[in-house]
Amino acid sequence: MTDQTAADRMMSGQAWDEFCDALKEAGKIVQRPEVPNDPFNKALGYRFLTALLRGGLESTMHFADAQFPGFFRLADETKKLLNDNPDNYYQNCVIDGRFDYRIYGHRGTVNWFSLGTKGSSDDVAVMVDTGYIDSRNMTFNPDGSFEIIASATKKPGNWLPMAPTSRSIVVRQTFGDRKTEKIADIQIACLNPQKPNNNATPEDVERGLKGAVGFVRNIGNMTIAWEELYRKHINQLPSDDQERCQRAGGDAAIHYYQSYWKLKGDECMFVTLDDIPECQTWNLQLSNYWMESLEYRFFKVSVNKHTAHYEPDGSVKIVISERDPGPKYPNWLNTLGHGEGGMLGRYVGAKVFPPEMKSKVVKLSELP
Amino acid sequence: MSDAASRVLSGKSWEDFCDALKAAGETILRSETPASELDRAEGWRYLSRLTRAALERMVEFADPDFPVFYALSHETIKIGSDNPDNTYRNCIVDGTKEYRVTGKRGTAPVMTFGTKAERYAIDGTQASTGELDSKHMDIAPDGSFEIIVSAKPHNGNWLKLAPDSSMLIVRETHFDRKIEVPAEMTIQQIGGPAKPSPLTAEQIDTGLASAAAFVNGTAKAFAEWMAIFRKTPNDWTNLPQSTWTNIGGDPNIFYLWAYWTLKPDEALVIETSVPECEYWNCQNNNYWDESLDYRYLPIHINKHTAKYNADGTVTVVIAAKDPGVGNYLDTAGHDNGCAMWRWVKSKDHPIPKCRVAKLADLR
Repeated sequence: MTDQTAADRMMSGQAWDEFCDALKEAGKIVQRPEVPNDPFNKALGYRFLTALLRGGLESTMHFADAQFPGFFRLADETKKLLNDNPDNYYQNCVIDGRFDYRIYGHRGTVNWFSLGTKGSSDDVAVMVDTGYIDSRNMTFNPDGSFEIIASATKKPGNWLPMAPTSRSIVVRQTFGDRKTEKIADIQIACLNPQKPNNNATPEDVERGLKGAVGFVRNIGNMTIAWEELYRKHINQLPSDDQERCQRAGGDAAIHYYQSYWKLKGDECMFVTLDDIPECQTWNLQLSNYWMESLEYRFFKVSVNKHTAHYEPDGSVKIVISERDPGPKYPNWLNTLGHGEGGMLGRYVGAKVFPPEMKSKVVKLSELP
Repeated sequence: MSDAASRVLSGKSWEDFCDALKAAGETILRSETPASELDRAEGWRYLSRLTRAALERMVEFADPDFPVFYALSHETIKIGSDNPDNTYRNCIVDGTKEYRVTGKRGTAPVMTFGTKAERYAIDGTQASTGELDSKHMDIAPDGSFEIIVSAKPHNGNWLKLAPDSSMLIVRETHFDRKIEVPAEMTIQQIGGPAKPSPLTAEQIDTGLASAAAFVNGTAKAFAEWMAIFRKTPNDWTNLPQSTWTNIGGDPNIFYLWAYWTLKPDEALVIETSVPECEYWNCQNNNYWDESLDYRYLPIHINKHTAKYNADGTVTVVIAAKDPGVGNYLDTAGHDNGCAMWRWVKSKDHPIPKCRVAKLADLR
């Protein structure tokens, strides 16, 4: 008997069956002993898996053809992972550094945006930076329109460098005020495709389905592993291992303070930022156990340089709690009934980095 | 503890979801479905796309207290001959509640709103419970507009709900979507709660089960239509129009479907007179009734983009290669698929004539 090919597995339906079986197996992530054992956090866990599945299918199957690329959103208002930033509008694109691309669009009014090319590696949790450009060092036409060429060889004008091994573009549009600023409109076209259309092959299907489940499994397990690390300094915000953050696709301009919070109903975490370095922006956000940013469309779950209320001495006091601490504490972040979860502080574009964001746990009634 | 909570705690909800997805695969393997690698590969991709659509509809955008517009069909999720000229928006509603849609008109020539009630269990239909056309709306000079969506009649722009309405659909039809800008709009419940409640085990348990049922039901429904269409290959299957309005079709549209099967040197030539109408189009789909990739290939024409013959008639040619006559629609490497014709707000509904010709004879 000859070896089974991708075509055989696809034709017989085996590829789909294996996808569904693997997805089922990935569901065991939510049953791991580290996960809070209550219906709420488990329900969130399964919803998290569905969001990862949607994002995984987009990146490995529905936007996976580097010669016919398109921007999609791996993280958005209903797909959240790894402490996605409520101040960011993320976009992703599958590309191949051996081709050239024209990226074009319109500036919008968003505070700033950046595009980074990433190289893949065998370890899905590791991404390698291969190029970067941001709105501060780009040239725009008077009407706000722009063009960028992404290529492995240097080009005049706005150039986004790639390596032959580059496999994706990550766009971060960072808001000062998400409610009023308009995002940049960004499109992409491959300049030198080598095939007439983007019809799916058996290999595409198999790779896509396997890749999507792999994404669900890897990000799911990675989330739990990271939360275990952050549970070692619950309710504190020390500077994180920056190299680990960068390997997972972090932004080189950002210094991360990633941690875990856990509070009783009458407690709060009181954060005092009295040593904010000169920076482009900073923020602090709450997430749930699954490192999904809490529901920022309807609730205040994060604070940044632009939205913060400052003390007369320039410091910022932030209260993280279930109950509203009252008008004396306008920088209240609502824990939305979660009890525990991830959190993340960021200094963006800073040159010096405090060793921590200072915090302590106090009873709400004992707030200064 | 509720049943749903124990199913979520034990992981049973998830396991059932995955098993149901797996079972939905049987539709792709039905005996009459084409057995080429391309058609089958697209079949599995179709299921994976439906999975995304279903999870968006049933899990993420399923709260009628906080409806948010999403799109059930677009460039990478395609269902039931989705119109390449359309920008679609969907959202969940509860017919016993009232909503306000606020927005700003774009430049698409046609913009219509519809509400739907799922009455599959009652009479097998997805009934239209309200229709509103932008042509009959008050729109401010700067393009801004407001619509009240309610069962109770309302002054101004009013989109009707029935008590069992559960969905709102917005369709914007473009003549040329490369240059036209879609409208912007948001929806909010009037007098609803200030903030959404946290996720419950019941919601995720029901959401997963409904999502798997949606994947299975949608795939099966269109496969069954295709099994009917393919009985009259290379010609229209002219069923009563109520067939389509009963399952959610737009009552302003006269729909025609034709399954086609062509050899590489053959073309399906479609010729018709063109009645007075607001819009018409013809598009090419794969076997799964997904529009072919209109981002990159010429797979559809409309009233605005078509080349007309000297006598005002139109000729459409579906083939692997462009013979240089008529309006060419690419088969994108497929040897079978299905075409759709739409007459929209049309005085008459001529049935275009179909014939298979050798490409060489057309040149």
